[in-house]
Amino acid sequence: MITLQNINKLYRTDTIETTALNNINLQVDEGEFLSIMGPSGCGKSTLLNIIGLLDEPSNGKIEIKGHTVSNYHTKETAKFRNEHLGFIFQSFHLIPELSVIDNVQLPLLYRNLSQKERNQMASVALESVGLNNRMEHFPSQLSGGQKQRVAIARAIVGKPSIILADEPTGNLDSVMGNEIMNILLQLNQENKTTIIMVTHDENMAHKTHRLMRLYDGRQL
Amino acid sequence: MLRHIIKLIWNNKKNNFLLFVEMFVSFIILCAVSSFMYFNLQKISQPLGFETTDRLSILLDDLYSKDSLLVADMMTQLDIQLKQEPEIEAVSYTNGPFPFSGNQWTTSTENNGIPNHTLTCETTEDYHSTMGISLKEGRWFRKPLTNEDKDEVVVNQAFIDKNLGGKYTLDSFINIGEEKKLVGIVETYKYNGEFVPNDPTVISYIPKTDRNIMNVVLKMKPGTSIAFQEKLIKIITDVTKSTSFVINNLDDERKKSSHDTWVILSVLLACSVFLFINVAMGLFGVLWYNINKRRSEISLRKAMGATNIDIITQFLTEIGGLALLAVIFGLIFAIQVPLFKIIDVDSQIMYTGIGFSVIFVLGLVLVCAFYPAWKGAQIQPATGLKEE
Repeated sequence: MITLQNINKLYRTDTIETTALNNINLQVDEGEFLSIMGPSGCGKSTLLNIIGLLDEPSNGKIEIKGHTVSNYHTKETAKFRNEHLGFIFQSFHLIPELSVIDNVQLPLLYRNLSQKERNQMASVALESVGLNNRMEHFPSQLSGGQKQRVAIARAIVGKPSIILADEPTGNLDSVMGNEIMNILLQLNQENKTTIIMVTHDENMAHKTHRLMRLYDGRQL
Repeated sequence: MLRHIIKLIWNNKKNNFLLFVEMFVSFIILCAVSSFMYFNLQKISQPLGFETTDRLSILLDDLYSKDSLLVADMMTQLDIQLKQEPEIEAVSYTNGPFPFSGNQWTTSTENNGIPNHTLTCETTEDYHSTMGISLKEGRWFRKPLTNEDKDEVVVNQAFIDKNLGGKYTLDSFINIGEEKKLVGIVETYKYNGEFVPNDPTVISYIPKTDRNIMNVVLKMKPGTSIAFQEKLIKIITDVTKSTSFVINNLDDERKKSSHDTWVILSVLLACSVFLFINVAMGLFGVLWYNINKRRSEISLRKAMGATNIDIITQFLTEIGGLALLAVIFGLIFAIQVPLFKIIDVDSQIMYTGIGFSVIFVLGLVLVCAFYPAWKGAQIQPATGLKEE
């Protein structure tokens, strides 16, 4: 489903060259739940961003669902992200001026869907994370766990086949963290959604199918 | 998407309020300035209706208080003396409302309950040739030989349009307080200067020996030196036995009559340009700041599938929508002026000024927003998402 071949990522300034990722090769199967672990600054988020087409590798090849996405132009990349990828971030990234249902609808705005269809799909997504009673609330009126559940609803609303989660439980206490992890596990088991999750938490990582460790940009 | 953007504008109303007020005030000021400018440009685009080059005007001392026979004799003498001078090509006489005098004589009549105000001027029969007035239709009035000739008048097109509803027949009688025979039409006769509106005007006959004569106009040979005025002074002094008269060059008078309006227009234009440069810079700064503050939102939208064009369109629609709201709110106030004739200016001028202001404000806002929006669209999602 996802194949990374010889992925390198270098950050260059006038004087310094930093290697963020060094020759990463990775194969993720359909329906797999992979977690990525490693110390801070080892390149976990960079790798996730590259898989999510949010960043470009310095060299190497990325293939997702049979498409060589590393050759895509900006417009094709945007379309691919919209249709196939869902994102969950540590800091939720909800738009404070929009209600819960409007935040969830965000990916659907970039598809040719009617308001009615968008509302329907967002309601279903919110229901699946148990937040159908908070649709008209604003992010400032929600707890951290609720915010992350909204972010999950936003990630799954477009029915993507891959979800990329960057420390989804990092800003939450253990109870809320477990709650979020259970939702992700359920998504993986019931919908066969492929999930790649970056985490610092060994317990969370052990609940996934496979664990990949990074150190100084290298695969261990 | 539009609904989504309206929600964003509405839910962010506290932050958008100052921007809204700035655009609203700018729109109202621009409506006033552009209408005033257009009003004056329209006036200046209409010709005066007479020539001023090589024309002199002599404002005579008050003849009205003098004996009429004495005045008649004096004016006949003056006419003979002036016409003897080879430098003078033509001589004519007018009553009080003479070129650039600032004087107005108004006659009011009523047509089906609607008052018609008409400016009236009286001149001698040769005035049109002295002043280079071309007739649009018909002829200039003659020196009356019969009783009917005495009532002949020439009117301007504004008189035909406003007082006769555009319908007329030459040599028919029209009512301007009394019945007068319409013999000719001129396009314009703005005797008080370029910035004076082309109001309905009637020009009728006055004999040069009349005590109401106040002004003599002379058509000089081209190239006549200013030294000739010395001779002219001597002729007038000798004939009128008075030194209380003023000789003016009509070209200079023309410039003087427009000078104040040009100053007002220039100052107003300079202030408006300065104001709008400030508004543009302010808008640019605020939008630049707003878009920078929303880097993580832009990155999020891109992560969700927004293209660069989607981002630019969103920001332009947001600011354009806010500007449109400010303009609509401004229109509610601005439209009252022509609708209820709050000031005595042609509604068409006001509507044009308002229309121009709508386009200008919306255009300015979109131009100022484009660069910040375009820069915002270039943000790499991975970079922007890290910044919160």
